[in-house]
Amino acid sequence: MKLGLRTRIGSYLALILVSLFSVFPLYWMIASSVRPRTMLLETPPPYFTAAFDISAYINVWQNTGFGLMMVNSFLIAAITTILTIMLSAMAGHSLARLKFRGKSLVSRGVLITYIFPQILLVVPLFVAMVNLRLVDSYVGLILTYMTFSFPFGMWMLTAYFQTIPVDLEEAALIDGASKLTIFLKIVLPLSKPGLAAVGIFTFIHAWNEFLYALVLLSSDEKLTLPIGLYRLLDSETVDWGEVLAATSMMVAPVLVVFLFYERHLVGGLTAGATKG
Amino acid sequence: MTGHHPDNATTYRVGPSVPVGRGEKLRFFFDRHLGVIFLLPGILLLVVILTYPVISNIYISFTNKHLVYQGVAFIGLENYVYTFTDKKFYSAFYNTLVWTAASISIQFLLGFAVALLLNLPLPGRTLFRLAMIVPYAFPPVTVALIWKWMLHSLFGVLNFMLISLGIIDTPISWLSQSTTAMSAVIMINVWFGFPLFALAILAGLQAIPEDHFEVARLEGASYLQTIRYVIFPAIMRIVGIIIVLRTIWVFNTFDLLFVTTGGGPVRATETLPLYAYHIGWHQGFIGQTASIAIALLGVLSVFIWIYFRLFKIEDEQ
Repeated sequence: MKLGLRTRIGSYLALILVSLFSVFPLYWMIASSVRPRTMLLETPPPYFTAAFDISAYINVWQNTGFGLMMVNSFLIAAITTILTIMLSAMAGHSLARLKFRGKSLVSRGVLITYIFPQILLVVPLFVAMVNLRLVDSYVGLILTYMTFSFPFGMWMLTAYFQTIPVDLEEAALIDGASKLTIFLKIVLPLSKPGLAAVGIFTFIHAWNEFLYALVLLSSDEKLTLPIGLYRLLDSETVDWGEVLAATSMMVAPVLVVFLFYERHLVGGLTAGATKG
Repeated sequence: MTGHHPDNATTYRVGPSVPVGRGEKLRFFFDRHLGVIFLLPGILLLVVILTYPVISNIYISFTNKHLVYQGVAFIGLENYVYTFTDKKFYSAFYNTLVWTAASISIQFLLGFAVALLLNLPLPGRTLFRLAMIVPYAFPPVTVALIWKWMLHSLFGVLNFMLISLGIIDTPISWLSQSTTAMSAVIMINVWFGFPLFALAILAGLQAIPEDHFEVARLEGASYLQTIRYVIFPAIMRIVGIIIVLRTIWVFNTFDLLFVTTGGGPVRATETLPLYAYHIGWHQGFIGQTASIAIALLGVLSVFIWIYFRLFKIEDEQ
């Protein structure tokens, strides 16, 4: 397809305009976070400035317990991720390869939970967690996050496992290998990209999650990043330098992963939607 | 990766070996039922952490359970009567519809346009594609915070931009006046959500065989006709599925609205999830909230039904 000069220029202009719309907030967040405090509330704000000051970052680390919250968030997301990969790989293998009665019922049931609106569950889940004595505990939060990520992971990995040629596994079966051995020694090593995808999405979901962390956690030392960031707004005088420094540090890891992982992003985000 | 389904064609065609000794029996049992054993932990998790609360929610909605006060009594349909006669419920319902319909349609239109542009053979388009992903990498809380800063009435960069362009004369407090708050949060949501549409539609476009475009060109089709007769049919299903999924998610958005406006000013941006949260957590009426959740589920089940319909079409192909 050849493009005329006018189409070319028009397309570039449109792309530049939309790109500015999508990237400017990122620039503005970082630029504001390293702007000296005295210049932050200047009007009009300078688009560019050579002045550079990381004291907001230092303040956030020292005064707001940001480091602890980052560790909390990381631990919760990491444990959720490991457990989700294990459970969804097992269930995915089961649905992709093994025969048993009621299989389609299970896969459809799990699909419902995948698109089931989580907001509807806040109240009953909180009540259930009270009964299970799991309020203000990471166990409760991690189990909750897994109910979001397991259905997603199972769907994605079922589809992934089905793309692996079955002959290899059959050959091993004829050689007398047990199904468990086949799963561990053949299926899993061949599925690293699929497992990585599930891992990334599970981790980011847990890293970002707000509502359940807000409702289920109450002690200050257990707070996760999203809640901590929200609390920075709560004070009488909001220190925007600190807020934006904290925001930048929370966005950074996710942004890096997304940009590296860009090629696989769509398949992951719509998994279960595009794959039966 | 599409087109495969758990059917007999991909399951093992050979059975496990026959047990020989007694010690083998346990192993044989394990091997034989591995399908069920592998499913159990995940299913158990869903049943305990999801199904149980969903069912108990139905019961709670008929009681006067409170967050703080002890004692629960069965009160029949009282919660439902209250919910469906509450003016705030209807205003929240209306807000939810505006918020969802406007967000999704603008996200879709912008995403579709961007996907068409990114599909053109332009040098440097990879860079643009990376730029378009940026908003989607922001955790919702950070989306709320950065936009709160940019829309700040006194120090916000947006006001400054609009004033220097001559569009407005005086700074506007976008998020704290009821005439602009809803438009502002929808704009924020468009920023956050259009990349998913753009990337998904782009993936759909790239899957269209080149000769389809070739045929359209040879037949003298205009660009608009190409969109209508080549592109639309090819991407309709993926667009449909994403619209339904996004509708469910946007309908249920909590964090973004909670942090930017908290539903205010004066309920101007209070959608049903925030309304439910307010009644359950600030006022403590858990039974009441449970009834709202059931009402929400009623609305959303329409979308869930559409979603399954779209799936069915895909199943049959």
